[in-house]
Amino acid sequence: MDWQALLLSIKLSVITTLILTPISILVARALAFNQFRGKAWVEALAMTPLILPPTVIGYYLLVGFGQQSWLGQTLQTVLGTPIVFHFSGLVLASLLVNIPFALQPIQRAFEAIPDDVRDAAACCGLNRWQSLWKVEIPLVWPGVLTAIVLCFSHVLGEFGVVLMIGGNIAGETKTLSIAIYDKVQAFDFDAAGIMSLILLIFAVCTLAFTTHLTKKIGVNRG
Amino acid sequence: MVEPFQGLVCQINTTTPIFIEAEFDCRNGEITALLGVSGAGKTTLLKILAGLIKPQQGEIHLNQRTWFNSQCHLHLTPQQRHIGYVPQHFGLFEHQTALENVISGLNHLPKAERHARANDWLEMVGLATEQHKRPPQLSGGQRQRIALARALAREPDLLLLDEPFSAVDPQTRKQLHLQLLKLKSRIHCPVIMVTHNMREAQLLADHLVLMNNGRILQQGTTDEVISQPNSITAAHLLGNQNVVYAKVISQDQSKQTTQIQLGSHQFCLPDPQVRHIGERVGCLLPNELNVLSNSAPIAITLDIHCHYQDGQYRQIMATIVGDHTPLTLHSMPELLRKTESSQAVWLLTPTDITLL
Repeated sequence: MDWQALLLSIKLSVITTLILTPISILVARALAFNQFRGKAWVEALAMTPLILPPTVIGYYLLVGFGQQSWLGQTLQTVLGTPIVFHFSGLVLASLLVNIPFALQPIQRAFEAIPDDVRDAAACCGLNRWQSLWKVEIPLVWPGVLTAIVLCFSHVLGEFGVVLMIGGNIAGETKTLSIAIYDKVQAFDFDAAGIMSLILLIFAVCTLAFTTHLTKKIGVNRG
Repeated sequence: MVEPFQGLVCQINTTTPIFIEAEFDCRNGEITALLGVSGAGKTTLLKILAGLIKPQQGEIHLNQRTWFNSQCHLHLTPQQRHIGYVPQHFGLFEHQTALENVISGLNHLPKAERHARANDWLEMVGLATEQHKRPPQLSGGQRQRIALARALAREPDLLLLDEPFSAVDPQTRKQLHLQLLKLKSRIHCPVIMVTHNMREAQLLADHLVLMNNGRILQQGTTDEVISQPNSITAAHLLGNQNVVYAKVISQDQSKQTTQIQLGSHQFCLPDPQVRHIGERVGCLLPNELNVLSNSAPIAITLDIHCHYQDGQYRQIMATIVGDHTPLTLHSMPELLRKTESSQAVWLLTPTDITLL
C-alpha cells in the first residue's frame, strides 16, 4: 500500500476542490443569470474537458506550461519553480479538467431559482452579496455539494492528465491512480488491489453520503 | 399655496423588454389596479416601478423624490427605492421560516427591533402560530399572507402586488381580499396591484388603469371606469360581453341626445359626443335581462336561442331582433318562466345603454 500516494491524492483533491468551488459558484451564477454575446461559446469551452481525451488536455498543458513555452518560463520566474513535473502543475491541470464537474451542477441549481425569489430579495433591500449569501447559496446548496463530491472524487481518480503533466515522481506527482498503474506494471496485484479497493469504498461512501444529505435537505425544505 | 402631490407619478416609454407606454399617478394610501389580459405589460410595468427593469425613457417620482429620469441618467435600484413587493408566486425564501422571511425584509431596522416587528406583522396577518414553519409546510393562502407581511413590515414607500391572489383557491382569495381591506387603514403609501380579475379590482382598488398591448386604454376612479368604458376593448376588458353596433339616425346637440337604430329598434340616448349621421357606434348593453322593469322607456325584442342554469342565474344566449350580434345575458330563474317562448322583451332605461 502506497500511503504517500494516497495522501498526495487527497491533498490534490482537497486543494482543487477548495479553489474550484468558490470560483465555480461565482462563474455559475454569472452564467445562470446573465445573457451576453458569446455565452454559448463560454459554456461550450467550460464543457470541453468532458469530451476531450485526458491525454490531449495533458499534452496541451505540457506544451503550454513547459519550460520551452513563454507562459511556462514566466510562471517559473514568478513562482520560482517549474509548473510541469511539479505538484503545482497537478493542481493547475486538476483545476482545468474539473471545471465542468464543478460548474455544471452549480449552474443548473442557480438556474432553478425562480425569478420571483431573486426579485423579492432585491426588493427586500438585499444587495447582490447579501442575496447570494443569504438566499441563493442556501437554495443551491445541493448543487454545490454535488459539485464538491464530483470534483473531489474525479481528482482522486484522475490519471491521464496527471501522468502527462506531472509524470511519476514519488511524493511530488505520484498520485494513487498512478501508483495503482505502477503496481500493476510491477505485477504487485495485492498492493494494486488494496489501493483500488480504497478508491472503490471511498467512491461508494461519498456518493451515499451526498445522496443522503441531498435528500435530507429536500425533506427539511418540503 | 398648492400642496405638492404626495404619491407616485409615473411617465415612461420603452420598447425593451416589451413595448410599454404609460402615464399615471397614485396617491399615498390609495390602491391603483392595473387591469389587463395576459401579455398586456402589467407585470413589466410593475417591475419597472420596482427598479428591476430599466425603461428607455421617462420619469418616475415618489413624494417629490426622483426614482428614474432618463434625461438625467438617474435610475435607483430596488434596494434604493425602499419598496414592498409581492410577486405572483410570492417569492418566499424556502430555506427560511415564516419569521425569518419577514425579518429578511427588515434590514433597514436595527437588529434588535427586527424580531419584534416581524412578530407583530405575522400576528396581524394571523400567522403568529405558524412562524417557525417553512413556506413548503404552509398552504397557498398562508404563503401569500407571509409575502404580504414581509412587504408591509418594511413600511415601504410603495407597495407593489403582482396578481397576489391568483395562486390561491376562490375561498382563500375571498379571505385574503378581506384581510387586505382590513390592513388598508395601516397602509400609507401608494399601492399598485396587478390583476386580470375585474371583480378583484372593483372590490379593492380606488383607481383603475386598463392596459392593452403595453398602452393605457383608460384610467380613472374604479366606479367611473367600470360604469363608462371608453372603447369596445375597454368594455371587453371589464367583462362586458354585450357590445353591439348601432347606426346614428339623428342628433340633437342642444339636448345632447342621439337617435340610434339598433336592429329593428330606434330610440334616443343621452350622448355628449358629436356624431355623424349614418355613423356606426358601439353600444354597451347590460349583462342582466330584467323583464319585470316597468317605467322603462326602451323596449328591445330579443330572439332567445337557448338558456341554461349557471349557479343561481339562468344564462341566456340571445340576439336583438334585426341584429346578428350574439348577446350573453343572465337572469333570475323565476323571470325565465316568462321567456319560455323564443322571444322576450328587454326593458331598459336610456342610462342602461352606453354609447362608445
